[in-house]
Amino acid sequence: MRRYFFEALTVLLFAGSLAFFWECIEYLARRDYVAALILLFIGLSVIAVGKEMARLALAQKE
Amino acid sequence: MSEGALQPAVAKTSQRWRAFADVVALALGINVWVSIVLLPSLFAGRWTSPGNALPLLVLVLGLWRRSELLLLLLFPAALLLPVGFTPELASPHVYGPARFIIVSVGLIAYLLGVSFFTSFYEPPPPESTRPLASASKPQPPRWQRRYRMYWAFTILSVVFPATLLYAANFDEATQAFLRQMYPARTQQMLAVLDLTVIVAWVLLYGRFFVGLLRLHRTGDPDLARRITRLRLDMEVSRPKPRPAFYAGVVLAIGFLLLFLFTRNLL
Repeated sequence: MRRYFFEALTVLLFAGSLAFFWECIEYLARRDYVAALILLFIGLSVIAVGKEMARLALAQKE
Repeated sequence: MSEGALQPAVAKTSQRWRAFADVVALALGINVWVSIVLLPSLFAGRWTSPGNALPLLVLVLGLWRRSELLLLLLFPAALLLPVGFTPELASPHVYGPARFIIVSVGLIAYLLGVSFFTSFYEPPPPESTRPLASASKPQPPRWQRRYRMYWAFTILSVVFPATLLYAANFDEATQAFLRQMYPARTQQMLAVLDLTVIVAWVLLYGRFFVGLLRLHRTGDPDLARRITRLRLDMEVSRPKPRPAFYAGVVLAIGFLLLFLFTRNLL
């Protein structure tokens, strides 16, 4: 059960990070570079958390 | 000298050494606090802000606990807090190029001094000495290469962040760009840019400087292998989030707050 919970969180976090990357591109198009850079860091942080969740899901599977 | 007489002498030398290291760290830390927080606060008329005293508290706590984490990470991070609340403290009106260089030298002296004094412990005097045969031989070329790389890393770890901060704060093109893009919030954006430079540099330093040196730290290969195997066994038998998970959560929330702050949504 925990494995599915971790897998669902992983998918959610990866999708969330993609949303932040998308917003980053939007702000780049508007030439707001500082906002784009901050959003890029948010996306990277969220994807790092998702990666850890994926590792935990994999450990549960084993 | 008998062993009983040697022990108090060693303890006294160690105590004297620790007291000396604490005084040096306190003097260097106060110098950094004065140059980064106190003088700019006086210049900007914000010296009564309660956040200004926080770095000093962290410094004293770090010295009291003799904690490397407090002295080398939390104290420099606490110095950024007053700047975060009052971005004018880091404006080019406060820092000319000459003053920037002086403050940089003070900060580097603090970091190098504290990292040296907290990790260097004077060994007890030996009861007898005998020269080793290898000590009379010239240094092997592989160690000469290593030392050259260590010196290059040390120099680059000073040059890189100083250049990035100089470009962000004193480059005419950057200043003109900030004034054009953020006419009403230039100081705030400059503070964000400085913070971004620092975060980016810490990440680069951890990945490409400390990461490479970690590969050189071989130690006892058998023991290192056993510890790695034990750690892997523990991770598989009882999976739990690694520090990267908590760091990711804290960074995500921090950058999100920063984003909302820069958008004036907080």
